[in-house]
Amino acid sequence: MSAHQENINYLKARKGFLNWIVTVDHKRIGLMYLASIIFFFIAGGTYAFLFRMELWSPLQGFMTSDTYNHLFTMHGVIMVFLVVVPGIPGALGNFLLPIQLGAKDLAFPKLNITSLYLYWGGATLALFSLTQGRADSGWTFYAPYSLSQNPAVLWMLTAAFILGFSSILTGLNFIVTIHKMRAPGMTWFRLPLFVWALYATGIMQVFATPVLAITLVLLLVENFLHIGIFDPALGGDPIMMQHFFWFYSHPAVYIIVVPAFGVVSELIATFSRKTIFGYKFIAFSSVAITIIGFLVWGHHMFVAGQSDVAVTIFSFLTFFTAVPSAIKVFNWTTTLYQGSIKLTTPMLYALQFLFNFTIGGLTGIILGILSVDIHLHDTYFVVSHFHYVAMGSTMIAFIGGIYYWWPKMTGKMFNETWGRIGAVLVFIGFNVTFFVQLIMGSQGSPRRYYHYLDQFQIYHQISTVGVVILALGLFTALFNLLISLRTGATAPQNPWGARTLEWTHAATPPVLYNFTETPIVTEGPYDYPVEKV
Amino acid sequence: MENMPGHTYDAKVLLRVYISLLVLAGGMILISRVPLEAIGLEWIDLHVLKGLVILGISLVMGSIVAGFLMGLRYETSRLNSLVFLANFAFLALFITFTWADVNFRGLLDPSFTKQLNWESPVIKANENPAAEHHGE
Amino acid sequence: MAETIVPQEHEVAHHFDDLEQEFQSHRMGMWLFLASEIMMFGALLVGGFILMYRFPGAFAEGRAHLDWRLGTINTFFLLTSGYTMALAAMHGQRGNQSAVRRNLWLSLLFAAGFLVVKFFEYSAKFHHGTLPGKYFTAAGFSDPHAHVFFGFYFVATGLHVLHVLIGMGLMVWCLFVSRKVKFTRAYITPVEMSGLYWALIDLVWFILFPLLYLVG
Repeated sequence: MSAHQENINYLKARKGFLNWIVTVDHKRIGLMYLASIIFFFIAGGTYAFLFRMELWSPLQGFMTSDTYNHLFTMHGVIMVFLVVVPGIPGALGNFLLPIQLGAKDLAFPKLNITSLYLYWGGATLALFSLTQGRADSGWTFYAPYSLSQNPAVLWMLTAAFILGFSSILTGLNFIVTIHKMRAPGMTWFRLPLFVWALYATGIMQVFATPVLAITLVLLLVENFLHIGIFDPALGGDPIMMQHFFWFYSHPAVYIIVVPAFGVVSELIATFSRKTIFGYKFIAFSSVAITIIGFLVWGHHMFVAGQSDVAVTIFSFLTFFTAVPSAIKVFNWTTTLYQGSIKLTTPMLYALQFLFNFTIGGLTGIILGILSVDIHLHDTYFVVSHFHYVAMGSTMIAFIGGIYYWWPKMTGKMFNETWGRIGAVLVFIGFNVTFFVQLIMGSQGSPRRYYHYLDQFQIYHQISTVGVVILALGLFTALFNLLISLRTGATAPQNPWGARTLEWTHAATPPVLYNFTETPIVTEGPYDYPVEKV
Repeated sequence: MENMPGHTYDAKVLLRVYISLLVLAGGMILISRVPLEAIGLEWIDLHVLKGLVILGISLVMGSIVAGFLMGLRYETSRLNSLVFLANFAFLALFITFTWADVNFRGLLDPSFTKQLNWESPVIKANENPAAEHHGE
Repeated sequence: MAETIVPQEHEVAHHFDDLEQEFQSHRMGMWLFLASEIMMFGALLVGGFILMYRFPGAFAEGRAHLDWRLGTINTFFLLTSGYTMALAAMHGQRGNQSAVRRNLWLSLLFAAGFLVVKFFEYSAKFHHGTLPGKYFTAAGFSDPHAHVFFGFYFVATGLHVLHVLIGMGLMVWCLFVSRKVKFTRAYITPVEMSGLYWALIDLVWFILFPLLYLVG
């Protein structure tokens, strides 16, 4: 390849559709992940929108109860396995990790494109399952629901299995890259916090996801051979299936949310123009969450029939997750203190994250209390809790991250006014939708019900109105970005005045191998000049 | 040889590893198969420990493989060893907590038995499909 | 014919600085992959131990129906192929291309031996009807949960056999690579990585073999 080609930006370096499909360039892979994830976010969101509409009235509306079960299953599977789990690592992580480290690419570029293919393969199977009937087991695939030999469920299990491998390979690639590919001078404590977050995520992806894989394999085998490991009718133990499932899926919750911590750390530091407060505490609390995340899976099974001993241990350990999470929130808040804050669109999303994550985290503690959980288990309180984490924290941080790095990815500036309008709409819509569910849940309204009690109708209706506002906000945000591709001003190299390598050393958009020469790092990622007052 | 990646394989070490693995595997099978009474050692009672001894030997074999054949012993950084040990830490957690559930079921509430021989509602529904279709 | 292709020295990939960085990255990547494999097998074994704890009778009875002699032969096969894989890596470092190929073929042979024995074991089970779950038709078992043991046996050994097949695929791949790339002290990555993978298969068998055939 000629020297000329190496210094041209990655979007133009090689032309043609085929060159995108077979590329090993982490930046293009990141963009392809981004497009796929936005597609599935819209798909999963449409499902949610539809069944929220159905819930307007307590009786049957425009869909049958079977359709309703199918819709919330599809919403769960798509949002978990195709959107939030691969979301930030796949799209932002792939694009940014090597640049933030000062490397030319990830350690295994071919493996990287393989994990994208696996993602597409799994996504295709998940869509294919739609033609095979109606998956109705919920995204958790609990036995014996998932043992009904429903072909749609079986295809969905296979899809989740393949998506798991995509996740493992991404995590593996990131860990090796962080260990081995850092630029000269890029010490561990000069890593941007986003990198630390991806590192913690990688550990969970590599160590927890295989357990999901074997769970799904056992479920498939149980479906075909009836071996009696999970099926209670044959002597199996359905609670053991839940142990297997949550040994993965509790860490998966942190796979979902820890990358968001990283994004928010970047946003808050940049737009406060201040060194992040307690860098090491934020970095190590990500790792601590990883470890603790492996110890608390049983809190999903308090009323499932688990022994009282296990229940007590799990409840006790659950409280520890509050410690690193709180450390982070306090550090971010302290970073804001006396910073010169700019309320740009990405920053609005970061502040929303702080608000939503605090609610999401504290409701989690409430649910971890044994006696309270017996009342709240399987109510809308739980639904609201995890939407505050998965949607209100992760997706909000994701959107904030997309806005923040959009100029770097595409070379175009977006319209700030419309960006802010979108952010405000999202904030209002999200909180109207889900805060009311906290109230409804605390009054005992069970989740997943198709016919619900009349007394909850007003809450459901408020929630449905919230969803409309939320959808408006999300589409405003999306169209604002898409329009900027055509009409946006050309972005300068460092529009936000940030201090990490992708802004200070890489062109906008970056060249094919990221840097024209390998950067030599001499200072930390958040060393903003101190302005004396 | 200073800048060469990895460690240099040594024929002697490999042979020793191979032989010791064979010996250990043989020992494992002997302990399992040969009744102690037959060789006049009936005063050693291994009944309960037997299984543990056998699994212990397999653990030793595993560490020899990991250390020598997989080269953990020669690493300059301990990173890969840490990864390997982390596996066992996580698995130990997994089995401990799951056991804490399976073993103590019914401790406070005896109506919860250890053996969950519940009837599968799915199979029941499949056997009796008419019951599935209630007013829609 | 392929004989005309002269093996070339390996070149460092564009995004790495030197051989050392490349090799260590590959090795670490492989270890992380093995870590995920260990978690997968480990979780299955955790399930196995829990089952054993819940149905000790079924496990004792089922175990009595497995032939420990066949298991022993297979242990020998796997041990030896692990040894020859390590020898292949050693000869690769010494630049002895033909010895590498010889040892890879030997490993393949022993791995195939393992599969042959496994085939006889499986077909005997089909013959006796000691099959998993609903296909369990064997007579003479007193424990009502004996089918659970065979369910676990087939899942665990089946997954292991699948890995043996993948490992054999890697050996064949190494044989292809050995035609194109010259192994030196500085570069044996394909053989080293396949060797690591094969050692994991050994490792898993060292746990499976006593658990299924010997203990109790």
